[in-house]
Amino acid sequence: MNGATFAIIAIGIVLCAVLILSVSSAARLTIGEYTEAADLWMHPSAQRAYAYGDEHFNADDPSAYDINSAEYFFTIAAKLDPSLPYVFHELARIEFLKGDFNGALSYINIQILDQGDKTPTSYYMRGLIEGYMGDYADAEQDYAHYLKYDPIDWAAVNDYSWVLLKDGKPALANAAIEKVLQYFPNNPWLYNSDAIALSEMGDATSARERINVASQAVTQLTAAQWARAYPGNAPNVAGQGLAALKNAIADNIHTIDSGGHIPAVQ
Amino acid sequence: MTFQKIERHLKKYRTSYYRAVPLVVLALFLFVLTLHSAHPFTSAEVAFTDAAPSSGLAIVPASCPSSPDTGSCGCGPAPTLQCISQSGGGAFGLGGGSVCSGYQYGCPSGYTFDGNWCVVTGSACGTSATTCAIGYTYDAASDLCTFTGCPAEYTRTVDSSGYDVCEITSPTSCVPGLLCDTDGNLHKQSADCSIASEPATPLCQYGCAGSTCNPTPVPKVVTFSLAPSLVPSGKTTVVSWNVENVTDCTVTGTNNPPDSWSQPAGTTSWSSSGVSSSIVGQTIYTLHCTPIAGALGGNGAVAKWVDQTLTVNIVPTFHEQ
Repeated sequence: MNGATFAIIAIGIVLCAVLILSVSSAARLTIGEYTEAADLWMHPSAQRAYAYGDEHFNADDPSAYDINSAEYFFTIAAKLDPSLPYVFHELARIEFLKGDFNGALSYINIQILDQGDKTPTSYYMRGLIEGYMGDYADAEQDYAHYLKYDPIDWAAVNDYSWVLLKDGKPALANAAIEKVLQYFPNNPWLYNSDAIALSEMGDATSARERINVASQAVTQLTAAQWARAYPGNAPNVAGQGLAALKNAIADNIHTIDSGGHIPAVQ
Repeated sequence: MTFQKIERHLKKYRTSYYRAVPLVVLALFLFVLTLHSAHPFTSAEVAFTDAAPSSGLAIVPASCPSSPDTGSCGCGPAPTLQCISQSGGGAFGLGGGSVCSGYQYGCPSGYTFDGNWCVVTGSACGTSATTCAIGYTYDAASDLCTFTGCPAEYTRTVDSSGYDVCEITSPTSCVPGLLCDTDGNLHKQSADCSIASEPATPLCQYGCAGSTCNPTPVPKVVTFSLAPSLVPSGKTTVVSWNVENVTDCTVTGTNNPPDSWSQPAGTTSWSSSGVSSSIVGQTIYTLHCTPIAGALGGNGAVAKWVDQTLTVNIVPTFHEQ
């Protein structure tokens, strides 16, 4: 190989590297995902793009989980076929997880406009986004709408009670939880929320009972179980999330047991 | 810039230097990728808590229904009552007459209970094929088996976990008396519900039901016919009959010499036929029987037999004047 040939190869590699890194900086794809991207480039398919997105948004598979790749593929899927049932819902989830609540709200509004009651979990998702944005009244409506489809969904009830509590309606929050508590005797989230509702209502004795159940239940909770309650999150942060839940319950026990209130922290 | 210029430019460097360029680029590329994967993504909801308005207590929202892949199923559908164990060795099966040692909150078909909630193990999400225990009815809206009451032959009890259970009613005391047993006779039943092995006398000649023998059956004429019923003079006909719950039956004709057939002695049903002798004039055949002793009619009186008759006529003949 003479020098000219080698120079051409070197420049070619440099150009490829620049191209790859420039794409990588935008979508931040990993090496394995370039194969999928190349496949889509050669054979454009909204369904395939969605499937690739789904694959990288699956917390059960830590090796494939990559929220940026998921966003990249979902975006391609949405461009190829905006009528895919959950494509904007998934993009909304990703923006939500990234903390871009306005972006998430835009996507979920498109989703609900397009699909309406065909994808009832989208109402739950919008309630979640609105709750994080502090729009509790709208969140209440969306959670209530979703609960018509699945009235014994513990997470939906728990989150519904969250926005009710924030909206100054602890009695409604307590009533919503009490309806389903019998079905979930070991659910720390529900017992924690119910304890707070009772505390806000001034029933310290019942609140103490509830928070003690939550405290016992959370000791049995594993990181894997926590991860299932927060799908879409990176598998390796489950321990951090579980620790936060345990700390929150421990703090609540202390506050309720001491009979005092801690200053509201937003 | 032409390739010749590039080549001239590169010749300024030693060969080993520019041969290393691709390796450097590759190393840089891998370094960037390493940086990329070195920082795990942490979402806005990890470790998120929200303060309650007046108490400041930490509210912890969840988010599992947000995933369209799992929906509420991935979070765990509402648990339902399941057998802890059952006779026959199959665990967590319901219904089908299996005997459960107890019940607990468990998962519908297609889910596995992991100690806190039901996790999808198959593709049954949203299409639960739950079979509920006796006394429970599946409600698709809530994905729950709810107690709706025990059937008539079952008794409602509450197990050690506080769940309603339907058990087959098993009496502990009986009113002494007679009980129809599988041998078709009445047997004596004691106050402790035990049943005597030997039948009570008199035996039931016609089987039993409940605490009484079946009554003596009343006569029944199944068939009584002639073929043909119109014959040329001097020809014959065939008389057929089938009669039940009778004795001493006879079939007689009015021809001359008269036809006559009799039921075999000791039988209570008779099915037969006979060819008549030559018939030269109108002939009447009569089926006469006696009801079995003890048979009662619809009015409660002793059953009475009513003779059955059939007539054979001669084909008319015409003579020119």
